[in-house]
Amino acid sequence: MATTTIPAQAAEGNPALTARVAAVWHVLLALAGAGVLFTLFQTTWPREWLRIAALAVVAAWVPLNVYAAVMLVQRKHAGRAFSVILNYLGLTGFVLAALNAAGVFLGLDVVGDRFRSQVFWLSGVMIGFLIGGVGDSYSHDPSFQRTLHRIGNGLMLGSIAAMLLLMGALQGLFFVLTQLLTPNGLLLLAGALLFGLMFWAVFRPQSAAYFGATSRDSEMLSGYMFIAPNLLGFVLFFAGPLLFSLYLSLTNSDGFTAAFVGIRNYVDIFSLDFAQLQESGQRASTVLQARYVELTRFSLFGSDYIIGAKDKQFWIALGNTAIFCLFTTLLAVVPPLLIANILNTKIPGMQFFRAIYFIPSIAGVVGVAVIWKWLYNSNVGFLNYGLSAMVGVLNVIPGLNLPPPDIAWLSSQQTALLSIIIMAAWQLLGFNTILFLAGLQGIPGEVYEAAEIDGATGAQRFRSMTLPLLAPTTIFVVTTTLISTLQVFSEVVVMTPPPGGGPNNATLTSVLYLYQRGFKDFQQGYSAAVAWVLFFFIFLITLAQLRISRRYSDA
Amino acid sequence: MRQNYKTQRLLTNIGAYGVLGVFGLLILFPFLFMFFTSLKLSTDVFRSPPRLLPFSPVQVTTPGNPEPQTLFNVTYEGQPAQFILAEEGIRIGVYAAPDNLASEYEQPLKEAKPVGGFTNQTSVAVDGEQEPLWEIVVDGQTIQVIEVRRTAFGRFEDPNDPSRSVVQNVRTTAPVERVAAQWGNYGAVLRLQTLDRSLTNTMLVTILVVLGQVVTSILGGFAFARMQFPGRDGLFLLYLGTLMVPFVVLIVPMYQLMVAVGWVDRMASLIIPWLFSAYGTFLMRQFFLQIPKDLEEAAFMDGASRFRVLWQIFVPLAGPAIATQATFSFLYAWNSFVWPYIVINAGSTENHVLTLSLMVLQGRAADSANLVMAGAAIAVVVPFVIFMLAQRFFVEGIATSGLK
Repeated sequence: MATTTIPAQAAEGNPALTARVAAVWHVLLALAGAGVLFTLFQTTWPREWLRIAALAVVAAWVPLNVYAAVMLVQRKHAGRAFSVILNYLGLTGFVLAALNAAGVFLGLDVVGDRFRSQVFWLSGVMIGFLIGGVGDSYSHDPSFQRTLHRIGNGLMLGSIAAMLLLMGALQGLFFVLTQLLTPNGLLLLAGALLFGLMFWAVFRPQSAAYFGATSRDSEMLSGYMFIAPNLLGFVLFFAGPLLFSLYLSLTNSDGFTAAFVGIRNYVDIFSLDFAQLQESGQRASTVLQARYVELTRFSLFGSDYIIGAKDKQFWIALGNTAIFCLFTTLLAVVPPLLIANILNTKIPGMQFFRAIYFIPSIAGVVGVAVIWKWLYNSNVGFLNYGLSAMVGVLNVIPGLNLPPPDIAWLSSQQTALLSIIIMAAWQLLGFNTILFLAGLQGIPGEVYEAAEIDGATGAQRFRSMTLPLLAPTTIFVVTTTLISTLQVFSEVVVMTPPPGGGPNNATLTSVLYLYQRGFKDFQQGYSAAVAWVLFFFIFLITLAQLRISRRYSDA
Repeated sequence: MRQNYKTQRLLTNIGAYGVLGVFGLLILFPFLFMFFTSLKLSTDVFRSPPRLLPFSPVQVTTPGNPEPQTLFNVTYEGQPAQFILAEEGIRIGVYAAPDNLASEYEQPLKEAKPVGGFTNQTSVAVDGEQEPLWEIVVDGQTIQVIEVRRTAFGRFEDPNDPSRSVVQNVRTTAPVERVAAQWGNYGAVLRLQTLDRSLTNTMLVTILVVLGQVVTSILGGFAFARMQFPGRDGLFLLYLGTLMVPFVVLIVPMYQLMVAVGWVDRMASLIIPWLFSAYGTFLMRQFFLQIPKDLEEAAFMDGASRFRVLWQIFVPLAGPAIATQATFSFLYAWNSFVWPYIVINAGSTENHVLTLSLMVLQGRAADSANLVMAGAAIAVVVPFVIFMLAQRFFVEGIATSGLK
């Protein structure tokens, strides 16, 4: 359709020639894609999912390139847009592959090693930052402030430069270049260069003018450019794995091979068997179906029943998680709500206390769990010490003769989960208090004054005014706490020694269970299915949150 | 009336401070425990009942002996005194009369004489067993006793006057102690279990992850806030949706992905997948939406590129938002445990991060809580300092940008 004739002398900067070359280039890319598609169909890869993913990518690649070529020939802007995007993708792919071939990603280990020997340069960066911070406070003396900023920035940059040089950044760069001079590396480099060249040729302003690009068109392309790095990570490390996880949950993957088994994993997870017992002491295997293990028995209206499950551990873990989740949320929401109401006065020094209350939530679970493990020590721990001191005080009351509490905490089946609940709730207390305080400060004071004039008591005000007005905050705090506690893992791993789960599975939680199935037994398909079950519960909570908070925002 | 109001206010404030203080102490106590324990001697850790402050034994040098010696609390002639241990292992027998085992007498072994001589010692039946009978002198009276058990005593003497000495049980004699901090624990724990490498690894991972997340979030947030392109709103909804997907669902597929690209046990697995943040992108977009459009339109008139507008107008204004996001990224990267625990093998210590090493350390150094607590303190203090620095930066950022 495009009947433009190309003058031979206008080789450089000629957008029409560029369009033609690009069209040919995309036809070639489509052909190459078709070739890859053909070989992909014929070969088998050790990782089936990788082959499927590659197939999907190439299958999309071929028609997109054909479309781009056709549109380019027709001098439509869509052709330029598609060409730019496809070339950009190709460029990114080849650059990443070249970086990988040059050992840049695996070389991060070496960077880690060198970083250790030069880490003290970071103090220079820190001092520079602080000097700049001091400069910020001299706003009344701009020239001095500028000097301080200049010194601070210089120190920071100088320290970083010195650190990089002494870490061997130049040698590293040289090494990477030599790695690229292998046949493989050169091939990848050439690919990256070709894609880059085509990208530049189609993207440059002359081409834009040739294709009649409007400002909207250029905005669109820039938008894609800006979102591209982010989107790449999103697809590679979030969306892709998410879909892959769903696929894995429908397979019997052991980490290397995977066969599609449909919803069998989910069926196994939820399989329960109810049976009536002839006598209460009857052996479970005589009444339950094969492969079912006794979960619990109970009696109702004089007859005994038994519940069996295919995956007993899952139900134990689910029960523990539910208990953990409910009690931790209760302990981490109710006291902060009350304390925040007591503290809802504007008094000086609140900043200081707020900083203190923040500490547990920024401290990280592992550090906190390590500390609490020692507090829980049954012989020399402060918890038992404090409790026996309290009991000693109480025993002053005549007639009351309490024994000293000798609680084994983490090493007893009865208290192991409780110990972790207390610790987890403690870690959330301060942060939740601050959230509630922020919510309370948003309630206008006039509302209370009016109620006070009407003679409402403190309790009445709290129940019929504070609670409803604070509801959005409460809903947010409760749901975030529920969701985070449903995923409890680090606490259990750190506090109950490997393989984890505590005494008689007392602290086996859902995530720990899926970890054990996935990474100890290497039943990764099953593990993924457990993860999706957990996700389903979390999804329900999120839905409930949306529902309830919408009702409050309507009111 | 006014006076009354004032007192009431004062009382309320005192009450509020009381609640704040008690609650603050409850929150701080585990950290105080951590800090003080990290400064203890390893012998001081297993003391029951426990005490908070770190104590060390007091040592003195005597004129004749260059070696410093530990002082002990003893009772000399009914008076408390502080003596050094001069002689150990004095064999002592604990004796009791066969008909009254409850009252015991302690005598050096060589001062007890066998009844009937060594070769033909008389014995007596106690609880159905034949026990040899001894004669000892207690308060000038000779009594016949049996040996209940043996123990070793020590002789304690005044460091300044060796003639003043007392013999008593070493195990029940408490050394003189004073509060003293063992700062060396911090150095010791860093040399242990290659914890220094873990610390620098965590620093490196955190720095790179924070930089990466800030850069990708600024670019993405700018695109979402300021540019029109097909699929933008759908994509943004998708980003929002990811915020409610728990990481648990991604554990297995991400691990298999790492296996496929060969990043298991490698630093790359801790850094590259975490350079992107849907949450940060969301945060930046919300912030950029608030910036008035007039600012950038003037720049576009002057022919500035979009990148220049972002870099020279949006980024300087976004100080508070960037500080917020950097802080969140920092805390997330520094404290992350689940992913390193899965992807870095417990055996390959050179790529461990601090959280992993800390867990390994608490398992292996179960008998030195002081070192474990020093490690925990290192892991806890850094994010706290960063948080404090950033908190100042939030405020200053708001002040300098003129955005409220």
